[in-house]
Amino acid sequence: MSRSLKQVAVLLVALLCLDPHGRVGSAPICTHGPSGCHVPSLADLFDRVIQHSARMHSLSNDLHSEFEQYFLPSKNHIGKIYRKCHTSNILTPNGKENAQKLAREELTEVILKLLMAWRDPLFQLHQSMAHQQDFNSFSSNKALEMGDMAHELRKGVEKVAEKMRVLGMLGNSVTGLSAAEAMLPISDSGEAMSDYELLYCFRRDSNKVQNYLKILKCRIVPEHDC
Amino acid sequence: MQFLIMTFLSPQDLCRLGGTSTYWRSMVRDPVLWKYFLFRDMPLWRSVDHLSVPQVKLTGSAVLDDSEMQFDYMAEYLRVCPACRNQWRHQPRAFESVTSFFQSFVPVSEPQFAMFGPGLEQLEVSLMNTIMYSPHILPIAGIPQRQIDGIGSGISFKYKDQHRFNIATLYSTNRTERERARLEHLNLRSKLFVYEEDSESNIPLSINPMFNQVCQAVNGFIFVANAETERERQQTDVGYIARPLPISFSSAYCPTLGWEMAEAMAYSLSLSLLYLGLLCGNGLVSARGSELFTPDPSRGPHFTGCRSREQETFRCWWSTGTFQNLTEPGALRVFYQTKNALEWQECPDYTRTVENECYFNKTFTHIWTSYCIQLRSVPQNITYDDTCFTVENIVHPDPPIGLNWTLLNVSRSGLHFDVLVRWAPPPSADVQMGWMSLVYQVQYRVKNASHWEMLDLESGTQQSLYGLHTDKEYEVRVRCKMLAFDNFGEFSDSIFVHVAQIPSKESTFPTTLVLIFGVIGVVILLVLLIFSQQQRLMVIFLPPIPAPKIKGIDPELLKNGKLDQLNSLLSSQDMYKPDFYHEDPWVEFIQLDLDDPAEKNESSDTQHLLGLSRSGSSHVLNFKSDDDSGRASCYDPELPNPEDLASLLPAHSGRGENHPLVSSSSPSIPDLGIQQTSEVEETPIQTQPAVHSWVNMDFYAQVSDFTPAGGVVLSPGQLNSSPEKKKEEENEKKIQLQLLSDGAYTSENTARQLDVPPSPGPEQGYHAFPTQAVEGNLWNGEYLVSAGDSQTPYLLPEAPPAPTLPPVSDYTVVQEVDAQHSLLLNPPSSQPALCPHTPNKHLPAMPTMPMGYLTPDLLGNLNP
Repeated sequence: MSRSLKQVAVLLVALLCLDPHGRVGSAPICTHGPSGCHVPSLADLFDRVIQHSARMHSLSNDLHSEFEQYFLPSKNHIGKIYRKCHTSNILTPNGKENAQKLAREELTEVILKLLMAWRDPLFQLHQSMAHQQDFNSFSSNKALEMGDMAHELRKGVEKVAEKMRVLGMLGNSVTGLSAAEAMLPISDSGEAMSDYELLYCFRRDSNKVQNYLKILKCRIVPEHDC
Repeated sequence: MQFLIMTFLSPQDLCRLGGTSTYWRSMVRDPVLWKYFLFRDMPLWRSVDHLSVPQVKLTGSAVLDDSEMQFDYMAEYLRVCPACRNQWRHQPRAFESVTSFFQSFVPVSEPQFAMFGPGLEQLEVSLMNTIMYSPHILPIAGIPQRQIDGIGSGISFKYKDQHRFNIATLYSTNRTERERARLEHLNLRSKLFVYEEDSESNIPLSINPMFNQVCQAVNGFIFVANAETERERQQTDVGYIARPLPISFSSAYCPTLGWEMAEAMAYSLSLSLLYLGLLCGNGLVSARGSELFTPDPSRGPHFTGCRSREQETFRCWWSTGTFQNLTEPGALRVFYQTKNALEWQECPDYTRTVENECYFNKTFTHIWTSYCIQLRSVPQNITYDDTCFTVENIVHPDPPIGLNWTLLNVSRSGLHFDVLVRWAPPPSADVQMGWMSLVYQVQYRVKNASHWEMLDLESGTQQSLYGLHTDKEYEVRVRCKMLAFDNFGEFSDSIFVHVAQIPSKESTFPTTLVLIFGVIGVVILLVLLIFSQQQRLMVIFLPPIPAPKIKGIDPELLKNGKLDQLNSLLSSQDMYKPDFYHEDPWVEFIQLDLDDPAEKNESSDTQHLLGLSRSGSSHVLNFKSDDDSGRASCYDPELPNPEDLASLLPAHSGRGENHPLVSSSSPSIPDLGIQQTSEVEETPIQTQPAVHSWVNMDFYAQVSDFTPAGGVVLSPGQLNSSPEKKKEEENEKKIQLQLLSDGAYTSENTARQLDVPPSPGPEQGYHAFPTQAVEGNLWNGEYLVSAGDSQTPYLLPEAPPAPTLPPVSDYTVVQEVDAQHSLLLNPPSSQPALCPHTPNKHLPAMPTMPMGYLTPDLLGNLNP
């Protein structure tokens, strides 16, 4: 009984949210009182996670270029090294159109998978950087920060997904993302990757996440010029 | 044999030898000899500059072949040898000093030298460290902020505290790799040069473009050889420098600071280095400029670049290079390979309109995927070039569009203005959805200037330019890149910003004028204030120290000698010349006492006399007491008083026994007594005169009053008259009176002690006294008042009540005494008064009035 009521309420909320002026749609959810409480809208949440991912990406970029400066003779060599990132198994759309074609659930799942897959490697990266004298503490702190950011971003995206699900914009298929499943890619990558390779991959993946999030946002909250 | 000898001579000596005769001259010029010298000495020379680089090959063979016989080794040696060089270099010194003087007017940019070579890198303690921390070398002015990526930075030195010169260090690679290479004795590929990519050889192909830029900036190069390594290693060093340099430095040769211990070189670095660098500099750079920028003509077909504009598609371009036979379309083909499709595929779309371009449309473009492309000649099955990339890394966004500017404001001076520049993101980039997030860089410069000012990256589409000059025209342009990526796109079209200088003199003039006047006004005001309020300010800033104020009778006033003022001003008794007073009155008084008893014995009127004498004595006492009172707390007078009392009392009682007492008390008295006895008879009048002070006058007056009183008991008329007299003085005296009354208290006490036995009613006297004193005071006050005129009425009413007595009161002390005495002796006297006590205490007087009042009681007491 209560479940159906809940669904009705959710529907109502969803309708409100779909209202063109609908950022206020989240107001009814607030139980602490109509006035004082402001629950961020989905668009706001998206903006936040996107900003977060952008920061993460630029951080990884900074670190990556530091690495390049110290350890690689010239940038020309980067492309030559054929890299296989441990996240290569995760099927990701590799273009704008592909990403747009992907279902919302799948896109969300991809994002979450990527973020999950980076939890441990980032920790390892920080560990190994902290033990190398070549890096100053600044660099290794960056690595640590990156790990934290990835973690937070994952939490944030999960929250967004949860909310989308609550709003009925997302099917339940994403919920099937278990920790074990997310860990799979890591176990796949057998050989240890060098720090530089890790960074290279993470830089790329963080860029992916950022762009996927943007596309997802455009599809979920279409009133924002998409 | 001659040759052998000559080889031991120095070149200088040889030259002198050659000057002696033609024979020796020809002998000395022998090329074999000079070649020997050349090879022997050259390694020892500290420096060789580009003018003096020997043009001989260092073949090392001492045997000359024919071609070399023609070569003038002597001239070569003399040209190259540093000592000889210095000789001819110093010749033009005369005009050199002049030119250098003129040159000093020309601002010279800091000379810059680039230092490179194995000597920099292979030492345990790096040469740069030695240079930087060695005290013998020039002080370091700083380390330049700009660092050349991965190659090094440099040092700025200060020469003679004025001139700076910079030495940039060009390392072959970064420090960690250098360290490793040093330990493992590896040969490094220098980052200064671009090597053939696949080959392991260390033969550089061309110079790194970054290094190229450095070369343009520096004035000279310093090659640092490593002298620590063994000899054969030096050969490689020679190769190191010889191989790349002929390519780029063909016309000029760089100085070699080699063959020398690095430290030694460091010590001698200061000036010789500068010389060398300067000398080699100019020719070198000119040579470089032309050579390094010409594209490598030997290069075959190669990719010239791949770019994506919007991160959705990309294009690649190639050049056929020198292979002119491959220019026609189709001769060269592009193949690509991605991670997904491992087999090589041909370019999906050769652009028809553009030569040598391959276009990858959206379906063939995969972001975050590694692409490797190859340039092949299919028929010949030759791969000319290949490269790998990922698409997101080759994104060069299109330039922003719609650049415009708006004036924000113009400074008040009219010299500067701020503008806001706006633009729109490139239409090709999908910025709205966020597929590309762009950041923009705004650059501006004064039109036709060479240097572009660069602003920080801006993520929005507008940015402010501040502080532009109104009289200049500015050129502004914008370019963009993807956030967190490195590749900037093209610059947008420039816009020109110009704001005509506003004639702002009217506006600036008044404000400055107002300012000036305001300041002047404030200053004037301040000055006025200071001058006008000087006193107050003084008080404010230097508050006066409060002067000590002493109330009451002040010895100070006495010291000043202004007794009159004292008397008039202060309502308290003053002291009058107390000094002489003390002694004289005493004596007299005592004598009087003595006399009195004598008189008593002698005549029936003695009492009268006594009275008189007593009155006199009392007066004296009074004066004394006055003195006391004048002195306030001083109690010297008190002692006399009791004595007096004693003397008086006995006298009063009529006992002769007392005399001795008195005499004993004051031994000096007897002597005087005789004299005074005679005087006593003459009476008070005479005795009184003895006293000099005006008090005496009073006394005198009183005496005169007294006499009648004594004689007739009381004669109002006289009394009246006496008051008049008194009044005159009383103005001054009233104070006395008061004091007297005060003194009375003190004397009272003493009197009590002494008098008790003899006098029957001393106590009453005492009782009376206070009242008396009070009365006296009142009286005095009245007196004063009368003197002051204002309170005369007060006096009047009092006077009437006791017509008979008043006169007595008028007489004050004297009268009282008299009265008392007379009372004692003669009841008729209206004032029984206080009897002896009172007089003792302070006879003086004023008490008169009170006496009058009291008389009845006292009379009653005493008379019995």
